[in-house]
Amino acid sequence: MDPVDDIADGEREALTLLYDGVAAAAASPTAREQAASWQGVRDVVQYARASGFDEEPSGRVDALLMAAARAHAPERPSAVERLRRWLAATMLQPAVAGATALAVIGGTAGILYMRGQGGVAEPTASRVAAPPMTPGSPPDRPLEARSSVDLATLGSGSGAVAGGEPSDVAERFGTLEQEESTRPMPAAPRPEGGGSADADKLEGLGGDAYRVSGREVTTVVTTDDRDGDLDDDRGGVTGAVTGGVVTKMPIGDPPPPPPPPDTETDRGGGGGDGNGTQLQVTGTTDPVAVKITAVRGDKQAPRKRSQAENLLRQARTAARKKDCGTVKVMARRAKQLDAGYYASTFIRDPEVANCL
Amino acid sequence: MLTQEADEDLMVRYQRGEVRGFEILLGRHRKAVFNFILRYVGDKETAEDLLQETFMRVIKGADAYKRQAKFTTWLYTIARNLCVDQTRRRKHRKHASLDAPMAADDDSGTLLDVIPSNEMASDRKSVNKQLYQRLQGAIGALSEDQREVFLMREFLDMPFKQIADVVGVPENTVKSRMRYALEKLRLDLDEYKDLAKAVP
Repeated sequence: MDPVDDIADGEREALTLLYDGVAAAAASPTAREQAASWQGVRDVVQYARASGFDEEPSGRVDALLMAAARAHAPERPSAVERLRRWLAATMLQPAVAGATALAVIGGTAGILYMRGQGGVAEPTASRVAAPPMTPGSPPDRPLEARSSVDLATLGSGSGAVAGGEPSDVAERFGTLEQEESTRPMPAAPRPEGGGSADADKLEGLGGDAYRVSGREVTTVVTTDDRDGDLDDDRGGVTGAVTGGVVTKMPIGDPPPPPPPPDTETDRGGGGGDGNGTQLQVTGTTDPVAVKITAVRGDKQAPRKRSQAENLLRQARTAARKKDCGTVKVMARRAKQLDAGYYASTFIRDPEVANCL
Repeated sequence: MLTQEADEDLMVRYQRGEVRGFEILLGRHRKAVFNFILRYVGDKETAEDLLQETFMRVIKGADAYKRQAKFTTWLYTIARNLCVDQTRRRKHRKHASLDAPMAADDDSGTLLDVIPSNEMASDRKSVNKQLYQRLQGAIGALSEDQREVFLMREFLDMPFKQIADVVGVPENTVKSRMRYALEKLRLDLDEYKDLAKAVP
């Protein structure tokens, strides 16, 4: 403790002049004189520091601290989690939430408008099952491409066929003699007994499409089209025929196609989204991908080993200083990096072992 | 740019798991804190240990850090408290040995080499070396209260108010200690003031 812990006004003024850059003209002559004498000390200190008096700590300290910082750093949330938090925080603002809702609605309406060429799209069946793959018919297009076909495209495609212009769709799904998209509306009376129509399963269209040899084929519906009087079972598909004959064919378990050589496929029958039209590629056994993964793993191993060796060296240094806390941090890190090296070398090091 | 972010923001980043935040903080403050500690305890090896311990406490205390707190006040308080503890542990060595090396390296000379010498060395390097030894000796000769205030003001560039917060005394007391420190150093370093002025 200093003999006197107070300070005279002139000295306080001098310090203010010295460190806070108060205009010298505003200070008293005594304060200016005092400040000038102390400024000499500051000049010497600043000269010394600029010319080499200041020293750098060794890099070893930095390495140890960074290793400890990594070991103690809390787990960083995933990108999904951060997005979720951001959305949660953002959506709490009513204005932002309203604007987002408008944007979503507007965007959806815009898309519908563009697709429907000016009208709101009717809720017609939008998808047709992928063609069944018989053992004798290997896929000629990627499975993903065949998993979903827009019915509107199919309709126009069939028209083109009738007009003598084969289209890709028509080629793929066989001959469609006549078809129109007349999805049965709930209010439409069901014809009674009228024309007979033999509903045959359209060749190449799987369990969802039918060809009718009498009147017109009316539609292709999926299992989630359950309005009207159509008889519908879970997992089944109903073909509504204006001629009065309705044929129902279950699609729950279609005959499994021969698997393509490089993919595992899961044909959605009664499962999936319920309409039996989904084709999911659930995984891959592509040997190339497997090989790439293996090569990556191989490349990382030496780097991790090298890091673990560095950690051992740092841990030894810390152990010599009896800094067992740091040694334990290093040990944890080394174990994470290379468990084999940790077990075989790290914990067997005599200096390190004393701390563990 | 991350490197231009405030200390407090970087610390919050580290709290969230971004190690890069801590790395920048370390790079930004390591040298200043190290020299503060080094001039406080006067021994390089001890100073490195204390520097390491200072930042280890920052790492371990990161969870409890609040964005409102000024990071440097927290950091310097840790460093200062460690220095005070270290000095108290060494209390039995009240007087510096006159024939012991003043710095860690063996060729740093002893106090006997410096104190009676009135000769100015012929070249700038020798003069600088003498100055460093004299300056370290003069700082070491200050009372602990005066030394910490002087080092915080000159080496950490802390305002008197912040020093008062760290030390836990009124600002006027800090200024009083600074005044005494400057006065003592002026007497000790008087012969070097012309050297400093001569440098462009």
